[in-house]
Amino acid sequence: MLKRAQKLLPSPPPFKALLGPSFILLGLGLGSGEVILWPYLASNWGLGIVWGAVLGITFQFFINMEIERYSLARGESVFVGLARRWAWVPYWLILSTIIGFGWPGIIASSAFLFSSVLGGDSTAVAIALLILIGIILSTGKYIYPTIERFSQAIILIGVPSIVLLTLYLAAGTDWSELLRGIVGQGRGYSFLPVGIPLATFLAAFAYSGAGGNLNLTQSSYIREKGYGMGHYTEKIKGLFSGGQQKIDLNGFEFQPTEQNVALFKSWWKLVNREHALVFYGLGITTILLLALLSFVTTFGLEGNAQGIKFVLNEARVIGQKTIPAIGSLFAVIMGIMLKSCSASAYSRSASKNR
Amino acid sequence: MIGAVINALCMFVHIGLVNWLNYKELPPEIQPHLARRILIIIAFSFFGLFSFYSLWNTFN
Repeated sequence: MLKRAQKLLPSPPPFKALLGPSFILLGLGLGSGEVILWPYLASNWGLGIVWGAVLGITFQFFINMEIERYSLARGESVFVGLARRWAWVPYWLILSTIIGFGWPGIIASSAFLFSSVLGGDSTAVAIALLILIGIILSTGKYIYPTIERFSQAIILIGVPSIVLLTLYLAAGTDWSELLRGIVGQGRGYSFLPVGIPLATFLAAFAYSGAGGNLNLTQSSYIREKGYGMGHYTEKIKGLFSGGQQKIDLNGFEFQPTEQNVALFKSWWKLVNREHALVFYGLGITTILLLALLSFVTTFGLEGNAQGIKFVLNEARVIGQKTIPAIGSLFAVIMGIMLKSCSASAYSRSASKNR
Repeated sequence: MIGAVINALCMFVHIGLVNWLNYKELPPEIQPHLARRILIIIAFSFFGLFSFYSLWNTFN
């Protein structure tokens, strides 16, 4: 075991002051799983499959909490901790993230939505979006608060809009179908309908919440916010704010005395509550309502194309059932959600596995 | 769809690594209780099975 500097574990702040890090991970999470995959499955096979989304995000809650545990206790990200123990881990993480997320692909999907609604060439829109992400990441004094504000704004605008739209469009029977789906009861099937592409179902399952290596970033946010032993570590500045920055990424340790262990337990309780409220609570609401919205608008329609075109179909029907402007607004919000997913992913690459 | 398979594989790997790291590094007083350990093992196995099942399907 590495000999780290010994420090006392600081006391936690009140709960309200602790809210924040999970907004970023949720901003990440509202990507293709929530916007495309679950709605696509719900439009073809109904709501009997949404138990998978609930189970998937529940798994991720516990996975993320173990990642947070390490950073709370050591004041360094898991990236640093893993790299110290296994030198190959950073290479694996960089390679698998690039292949797994295919970032330009997400930007392209998002740009496709924007340009279908607002007009213009989708390649030009994609380039503009990439530049915008670059500006957002570079100009903030510190990377973390910039991304936190960005994700919070997206969630606090996006989620209420989806809630209102669903309340307006869904009837009582749709809601009871959603509830039955949570316990695996669909129209004429339990848990899995015949003919559902298992690969798509499993992909949607893995994307419920964040997915891939992005769950690991929760650990950097704990460190950057200065929670637990992260209190003692230096924070990462924006790309162009004040020249070269050399920071020590190594964390600290505390003696497991009775007092420190008791303090750790109160930190633990608070970060669990924060993650449960924001990531789990808002996440599960978004995932279920987007599936319900897709069910009430496009279930049983012909030509439910897979992929990003599906979202456009949905927006068109929403426009027909309300007024066309609301349909366009829906497509734009979905585009922003997909984009926030990639912006957060870039922020992660900007902070180079820290 | 290959992206989803890689992501599941990533999760399988990082769940294993992070929890092994916690097990090795952290004092027992602040390690997870039994219920959380069991849940993590279930999630780890699920992502393992899913990735290898999908990889096997992709190459067959």
